Amino acid sequence: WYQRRVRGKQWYQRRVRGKQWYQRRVRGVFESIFLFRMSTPKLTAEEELLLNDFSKSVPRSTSILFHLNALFVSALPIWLFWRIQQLELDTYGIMFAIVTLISTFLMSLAYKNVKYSLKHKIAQKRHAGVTAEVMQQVADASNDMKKTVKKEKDDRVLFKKTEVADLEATHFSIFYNNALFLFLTIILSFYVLKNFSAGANYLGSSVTSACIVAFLSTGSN
Amino acid sequence: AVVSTQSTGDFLNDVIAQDKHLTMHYLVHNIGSETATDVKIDDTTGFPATEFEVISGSLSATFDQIPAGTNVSHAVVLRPLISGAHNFIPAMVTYKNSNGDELITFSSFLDNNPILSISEYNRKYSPHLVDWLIFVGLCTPVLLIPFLTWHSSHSKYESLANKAKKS
Repeated sequence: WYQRRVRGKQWYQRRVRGKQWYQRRVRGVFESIFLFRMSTPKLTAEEELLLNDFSKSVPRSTSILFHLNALFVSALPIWLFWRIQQLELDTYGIMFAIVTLISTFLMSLAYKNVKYSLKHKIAQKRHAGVTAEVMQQVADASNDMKKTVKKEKDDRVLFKKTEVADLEATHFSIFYNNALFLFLTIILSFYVLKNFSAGANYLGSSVTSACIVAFLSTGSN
Repeated sequence: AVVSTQSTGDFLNDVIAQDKHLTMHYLVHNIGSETATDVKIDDTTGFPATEFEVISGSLSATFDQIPAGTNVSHAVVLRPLISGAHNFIPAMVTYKNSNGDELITFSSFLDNNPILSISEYNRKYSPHLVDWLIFVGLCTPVLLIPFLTWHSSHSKYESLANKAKKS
C-alpha cells in the first residue's frame, strides 16, 4: 500500500511538472480564488483518488460549502456592531459589505489549508477503525463478496479511509476556524479596540481576526 | 450683622444623556448672622426650553426666608433634548438683607460633561441581553453542526478501532 502511494505521488509530481508554465499559472490563480479544480483530463478512479490526496484544491461541493460557511460566519459580526455598537446599516452598509467579502476570502483560505493539513493525520488514525468496518461488511456480505481478493479489500479500505478523512477534516476545519474567528472578533472588538470609534473597531476587529485565522492556518501546513 | 449665602448646584446623575432624566439639585446656605428674605433661585438661563424639557419641579424657586445658619434645597428633573457639549452655567440666586437691599449670588460651577447621544448611551451602558442571546443563537449552527458531524464520525471509528484492538 505504501509503495503504491509513493508511486502515485511520483506520478502526480510528473503530471504537475509536465504542464506548460502558463497553463499552470492560470490554473493556480483560478484555483486559489475559487478553491475548486478546473476541469481536468479524464482520470481513472485511482488517479482521481491520488489527485485528491496530494492536491490542495477541493471538489466543487466542498468549495461551495466552504464559501457559504465563510460568508455566514463573516457576516455574524455585523449583528454585533449594528445592535450593540449602534452602527447604522444605511451609513456603514458599504463598509459591512467590503469587510465581509475580505473575511469570506480569508476564511475560505483558512478552511482549505486546515483541511489539507488535517486530512492525512486523520487518515492515519482511522486506518484501524475503517479496516474493521470494511472487514465487517465483507463478513456480513453474500458468498460472492466473501470471495473478494485481498487487493480489492485493500482498495475498499483505502477508498473508505480517504472518504472518512475528507469528511472529518472538512467539518473539523470549519468548526475550528469558525470558533477561532468568533473568539478573536469578540476579544478584539470588546476589549482591545473598545476605545476606538465603532467603525474603526469593526474594520480592525473583523479583518484582523480573519487575517490571524488565515495566517495560523498556513502554519499548520 | 451680615447676610451672606452660599449656593451649590449639582447633577444627581452619573451620566448625562439625551432623552434620559437629569436631576438638578440646588442647596442654599445662609452663612451670615441675619435672616435672608425673598430668596429666589433662577436657572432658566442655563437650561433653555428649546434644549431641556422640565419633567418635574421648576427651574426657579422662591423661599420667603432663610434664617441665619440654616439652608434650603430645591430639585428639578429635566430631560435633555440635545446631545454634545453643553456649557452648564451657574444658577442665579437673589435675596434681600434686613435693609431690603437685593443681593445677587451664583451657585457653584458645574463640570461641563458632554451630553451623550442616544446611540452613544446605548452603546456604552445598555446591557443588550436580548441582542447577545440572538448572537449566540446565530453562532450555534456554524459551530455545533460541524462539530457534531465530526464528533459522530470520530466516535464511531474510535469505538470500532477499540473493539478491533480488544479482539
